[in-house]
Amino acid sequence: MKLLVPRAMALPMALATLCIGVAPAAAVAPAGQDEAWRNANERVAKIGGWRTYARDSLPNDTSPCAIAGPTTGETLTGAAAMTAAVAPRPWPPLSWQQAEGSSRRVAVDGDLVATASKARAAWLAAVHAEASLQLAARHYDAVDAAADLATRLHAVGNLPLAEAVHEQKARAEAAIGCLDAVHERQHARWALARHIKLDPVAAASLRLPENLPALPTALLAAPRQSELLARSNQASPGAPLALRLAELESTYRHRWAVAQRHEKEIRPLVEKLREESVLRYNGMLIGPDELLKVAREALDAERAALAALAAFWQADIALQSALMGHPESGD
Amino acid sequence: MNSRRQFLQLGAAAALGGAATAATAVSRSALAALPEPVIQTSPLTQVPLVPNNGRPYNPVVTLNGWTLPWRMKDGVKEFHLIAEPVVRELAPGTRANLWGYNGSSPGPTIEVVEGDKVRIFVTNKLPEHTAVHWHGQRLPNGMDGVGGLTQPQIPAGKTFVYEFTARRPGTFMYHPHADEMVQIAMGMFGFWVTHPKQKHPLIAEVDRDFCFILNAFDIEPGSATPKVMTMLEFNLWCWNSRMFPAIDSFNVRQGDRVRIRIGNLTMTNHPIHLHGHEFEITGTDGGPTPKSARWPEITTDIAVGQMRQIEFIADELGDWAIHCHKSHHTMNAMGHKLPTLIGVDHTGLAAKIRKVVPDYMVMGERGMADMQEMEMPLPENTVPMMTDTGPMGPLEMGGMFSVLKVRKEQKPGDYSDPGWFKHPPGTVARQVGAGETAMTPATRDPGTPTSPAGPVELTVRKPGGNAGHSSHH
Ligand SMILES: [Cu+2]
Repeated sequence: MKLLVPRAMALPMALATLCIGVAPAAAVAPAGQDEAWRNANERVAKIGGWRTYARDSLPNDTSPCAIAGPTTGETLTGAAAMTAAVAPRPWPPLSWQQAEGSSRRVAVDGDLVATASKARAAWLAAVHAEASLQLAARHYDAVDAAADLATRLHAVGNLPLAEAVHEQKARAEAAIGCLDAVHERQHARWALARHIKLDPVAAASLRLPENLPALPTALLAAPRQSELLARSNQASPGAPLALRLAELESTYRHRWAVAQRHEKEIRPLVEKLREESVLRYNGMLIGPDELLKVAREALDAERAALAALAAFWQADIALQSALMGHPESGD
Repeated sequence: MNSRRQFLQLGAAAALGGAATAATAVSRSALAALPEPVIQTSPLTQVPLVPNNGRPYNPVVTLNGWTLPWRMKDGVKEFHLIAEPVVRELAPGTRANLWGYNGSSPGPTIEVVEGDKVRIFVTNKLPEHTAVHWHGQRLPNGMDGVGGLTQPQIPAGKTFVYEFTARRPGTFMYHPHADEMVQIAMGMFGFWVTHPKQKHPLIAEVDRDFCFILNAFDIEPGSATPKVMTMLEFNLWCWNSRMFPAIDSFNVRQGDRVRIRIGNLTMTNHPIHLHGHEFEITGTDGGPTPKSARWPEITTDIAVGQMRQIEFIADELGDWAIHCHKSHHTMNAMGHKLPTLIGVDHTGLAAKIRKVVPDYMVMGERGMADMQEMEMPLPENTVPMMTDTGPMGPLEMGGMFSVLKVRKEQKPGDYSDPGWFKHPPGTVARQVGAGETAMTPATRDPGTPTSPAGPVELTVRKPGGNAGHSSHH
């Protein structure tokens, strides 16, 4: 076969044909690639680099984690939730001392203990859901930035499609995480509203703290075992509650220790890792993709810390409830 | 100078960069069985050690290093090497935990004359045994320094003695041949030069005689000790355990005959390239090369374990780069798994990433040169990938890079840095000024023939088909 080709293309075509039998047309760049590549370079040159990007602003994208929450009004505390649940009685015991004082009343009005404890647990779950949603939103932001980066890298030809799609899939999964977190939050708020007897309108404008109460700096001084036994007998004469109390107290102590390690040890270590990743990025030892990966890992650690803190407060409710004679109501 | 022993100042030794080396306190140690060891911890190039006994010779200059003084005893040159842990400044901002000799990595250069009887005491202050191999020397087999093969290992805390005659003139190295992988990775090696005892037809007398060893470390940014198990993925590329911008320049006088002796103790080859001059390989580790085997070059590849002597007349004034031509070897610590960011518009993305990582700054979308300008904080004990500023702006270099400075005024024997070159007017590349006519850029249309001759006929052949015949499908 004889072909007429321009002189300038003779060599590449001959090589392609001789070596791998590629049709001559394949030696020519796809239409537009040449222009696109030159435009991409011209565009970043025109933008002017890091000084310009230091003033960059966020696009108007809406995160699937975004919610229109109440922004005004008083924030409902855990104590207020319990008070509301058993209104008009002054409740709850907030310390062991108060608990001991109150426990004498418990024998008389056990239902109140159960109601208040359940309200406090519902409040706790709702605040936990609130904080979880915030974490899901931050996770989405990190994954979204990584997917955006990967998509742009692929668009100029710097990353294979499969890798860009991998990041896009991670963003789609994070979006599902957002939907779940938004729903969990709503669900927890309705449950709380039921416990504190709010109508739907009031429930919608319910305002909760953004975070769980901080971990107590020290464990509360628990009554001695014998006192627990005496109290349990007093609450439910003849019932073997001492074991249950010991079990709940052990859980309470364990969860405090775990939450405390998250707070005092893991949090600063994760923070250090985050700082180091920025230094490593500055030195071009890792790229922005890796930087965002470290940020995601830091969020995983925050999620674990939040779960540990919530678990502690659940144990706290269970134990306090049990001390007032209702070992199951706070669980 | 930072020394741990008593010194006698070398007579003519004017300090380079404020540092001076010194000879051992011979008077005090003459009575002792072992020569007093000389310790030097400065990483700066020390003035050449002019011999004050034995046959005279023209001493070498060890780049960012020094020459070990000896004691002459009954006609034998006695040296004392101490194998020991050292801390070496690879460049300001990076100090490495290494093993070396006599306070430094590399160890001191040993200089002798062809026919010299040499006695070298080696004291082992390492935590493990060692042995010293005299790379390239003709010597009795039992002096070759291969632990376990030609000698028992030198146990920690013990001193061994090597004795041989420096039989052939040339360029050599010494390095451990005991746990060799670890001990070389930790920085143990040194240069050895045997000068000819008389005029040699293949060994020219030169005005400047430099020597250095190519070596590499794998030290993770943020740490200080080499990873000794690394096989190929080293990240710090050094000349005599220094990297740019901390490698001293080669400062010579215009018209000087210059010899540079280079040995390679890294685990890969290095094409060493000199700007502005042509050189010849006048010697290898096997000895001087016959004149018929010399040809002009500007780059010579030095393989692992090899040594090369390059020689040239430094007749072009200026600041001439000399460097390894593997472009990653003229970089300091860097990552290798980063995506290429060139051409990626970060508008809207920069803010998104900053929302997640507040200290993030965009870098790399126009190439990597921004990195030097931005000067951001790095992990501890880390020199930036590219660094230093020359007289014309950012240099953006690292690793195996230095400068040959050729000057009219550089006096013989003066190795001090003359500063940056002052270019004659009109001899520096410059921006085209307003009003000057620039050439019209060529049109870019790959589909249009650039040759006025127009299309040519191309005969397409089948692979494996008969050459010279066109195939018809
Ligand atoms: Cu190299």
